[in-house]
Amino acid sequence: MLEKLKEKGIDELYCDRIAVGTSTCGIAAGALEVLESINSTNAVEVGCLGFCAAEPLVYMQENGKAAIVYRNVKKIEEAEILGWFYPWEFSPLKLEHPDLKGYKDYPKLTEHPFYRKQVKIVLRNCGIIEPLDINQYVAMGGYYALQKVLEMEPEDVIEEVKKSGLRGRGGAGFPTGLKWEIARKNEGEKYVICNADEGDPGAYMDRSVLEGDPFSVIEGMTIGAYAVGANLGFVYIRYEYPLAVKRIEGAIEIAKKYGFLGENIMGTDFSFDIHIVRGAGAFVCGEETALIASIEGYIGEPRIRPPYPAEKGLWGKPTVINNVETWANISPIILNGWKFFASLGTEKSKGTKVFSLVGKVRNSGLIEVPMGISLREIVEEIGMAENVKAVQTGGPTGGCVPKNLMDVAVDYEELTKLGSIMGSGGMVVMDESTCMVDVAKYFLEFSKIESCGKCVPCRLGLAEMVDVIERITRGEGSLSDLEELEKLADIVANTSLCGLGKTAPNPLLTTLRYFREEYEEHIKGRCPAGVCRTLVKYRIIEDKCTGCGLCKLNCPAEAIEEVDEVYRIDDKNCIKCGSCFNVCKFEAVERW
Amino acid sequence: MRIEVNGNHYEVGEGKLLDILLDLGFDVPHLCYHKAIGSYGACRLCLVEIEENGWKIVTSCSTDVKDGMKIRTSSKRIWELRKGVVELLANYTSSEVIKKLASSYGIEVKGDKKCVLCGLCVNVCNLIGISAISFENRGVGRRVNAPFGIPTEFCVGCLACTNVCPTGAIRFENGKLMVGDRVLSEHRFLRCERCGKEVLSEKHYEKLSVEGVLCESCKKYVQAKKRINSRL
Repeated sequence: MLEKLKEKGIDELYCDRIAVGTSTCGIAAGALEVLESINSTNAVEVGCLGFCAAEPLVYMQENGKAAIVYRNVKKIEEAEILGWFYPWEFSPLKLEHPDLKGYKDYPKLTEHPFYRKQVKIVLRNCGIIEPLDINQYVAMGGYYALQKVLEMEPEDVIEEVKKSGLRGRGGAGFPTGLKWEIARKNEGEKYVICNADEGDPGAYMDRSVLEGDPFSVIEGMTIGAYAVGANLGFVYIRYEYPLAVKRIEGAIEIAKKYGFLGENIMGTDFSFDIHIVRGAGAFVCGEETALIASIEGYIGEPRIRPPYPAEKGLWGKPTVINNVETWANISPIILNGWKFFASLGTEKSKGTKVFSLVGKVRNSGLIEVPMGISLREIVEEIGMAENVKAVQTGGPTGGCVPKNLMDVAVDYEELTKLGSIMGSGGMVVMDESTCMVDVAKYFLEFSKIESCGKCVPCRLGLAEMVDVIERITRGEGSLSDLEELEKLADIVANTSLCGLGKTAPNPLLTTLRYFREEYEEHIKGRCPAGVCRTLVKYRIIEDKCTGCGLCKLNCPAEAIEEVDEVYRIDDKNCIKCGSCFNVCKFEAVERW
Repeated sequence: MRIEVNGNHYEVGEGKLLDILLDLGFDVPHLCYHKAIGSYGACRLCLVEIEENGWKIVTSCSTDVKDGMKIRTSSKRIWELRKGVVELLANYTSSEVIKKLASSYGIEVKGDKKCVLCGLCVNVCNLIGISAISFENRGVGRRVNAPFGIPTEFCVGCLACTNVCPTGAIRFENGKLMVGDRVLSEHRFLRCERCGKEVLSEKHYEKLSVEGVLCESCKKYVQAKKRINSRL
């Protein structure tokens, strides 16, 4: 049966077509308008190739030739060419495909700085296949892993995943195979859950996978269910991802229709079904016990572990709960063997990791790189960032790694040593215009708001930390406040109930460790980056001012007045937005 | 089994570490734990250190005692962390139990609210199969309330919540069950036929006589069904 689907899929994938990336990111950049403007029956919608800075991305395959990618497309005729590629070449799997001719005049996409260092396993199909086309998924090697697994003993499947060294991609990095084994050994009915409650600001790898390649998650979950002995699975997905919800719902329907899901999967006596649960948007529901409580219909708040969900999870039954990215890794591991996966990465962190590289970088986007690559390579070579000051890794509860430590190899242990975490893979690059105290304040506020409020240190400790750090950004802090912050951070990190509270002080602790002088400057009444409004003042230098009046024109607060062609800022009305500073072409506005 | 607490050996039975330490006479502060309700893990005061490849900080309410366990209940580190948690509580709340705790750590009480959000009232209400009250909001906004902030019909007035509350935040006054200034439910109490003393609420009496003998989960089922029917 797979062979038939594959044949069809190959026909569909390598025929003449114009593929428009219409994931949420592409749509936001105007991909739907582009799609509409393309007057061709060959136009298809695909997921995201990851290169956010170049959205909308469109590629063309014509006359038996490889695909040519156009970047920042408004009109396809006028768009700039990014490069060309073979649709199969990102996948780690050995695929059947027709011979397509390459191009000589255009650069190769895989030579582009953004793609050069990437190794795609999780994102192997994203942007290549039409997300809800099962033929194309099978043509890209899909469901062969499930076919193989159904002929194996469940224990051997677990052994394979264990040997691969795959660790949970949701953040904590617990060995996936071990988790499965614990659940398998426990008696009774079991469940598998896909954690798609991606809540980190600036992280969107799970969304991209669900939107661009939903079958890979479903196949991974089906394999996991077979291995641990579960017949029911849940995808817990945040409601803020409407397209991802639609895609995963659609994919489940289709998989059922073709017998890859539901009763007697692929003709065997193994049955497995997946239900979708929509999360109402609480960050803490990404924590596994809170997520389980939410599925059960209770308030989404964490409970004490142990017992871990693999022992007692959903409705008290053994439950394997893995992140979207973890599930998407499963089928390539099975198909290519554990050695392939274990050959990538470092000693303790195997395989690849998807990061969302955002902030002050030229090439922002989703990247998948082997573990152990240095942070510097990611930020400077892939992201092509300049004047980097620090990189925040691991989302709102991660830490800031300063530029002099950017040679760190990116893996679970090395990042922890620096006081940061791997987290789910958010990576925010900051340059000299970023105030590190302000960054710490922002993330602490985020954690304070998103704390469920169950345990005392997280609920009250974070609130108090926000109070103190706000005082510092207003220039009303003292040196003893820094000690106070350190003391509070120690209590919150060491006494909180769940991972949120335990890691929430990380942004503060790392900025205090690496940028203490910035805190001290704030206490003296100066914000070096000119971000903290209370501490910033603007002044027009009379000698440089040409009297053009652009500043006055752009001032939203009418705080700039003109007296005899000399402009002055009235401090009383100034809201310190910095508009005048940004628009002045003669550097006549001074900020200090 | 034998355990070692602060260097001394004891022969103890199975159970939660907190229960055993309290039985042995150790002073381990706790607000959210009740023997009849089980561990919840919210107050983070019952911290102790146990040896598990080095000393590890755990909440004793959620830790099962094991043979050969080594425990420290009052190391400098534990004192430091507990003091920190008490300080947070004392900054936001004030009640007899908090005042006592604070004074033993030399902390000034600055808060005004009574409720420490230990969750005992909510948990006991769940456990006896009523689930009339719960938490609303998150983070610092979290508080105990009736659904939608409207006095609830589902409360039977058993007052188990007021009995387990460690701070007296949830109370029954003038026919009203209250937390802070929020009314959770209202009740009329039946009086003893002989002496006239208030015995139990009307609803409680009805419930005891009407609902019959049901186990904990069946009670929940019946309750849920009633609730659904009342909404339709």
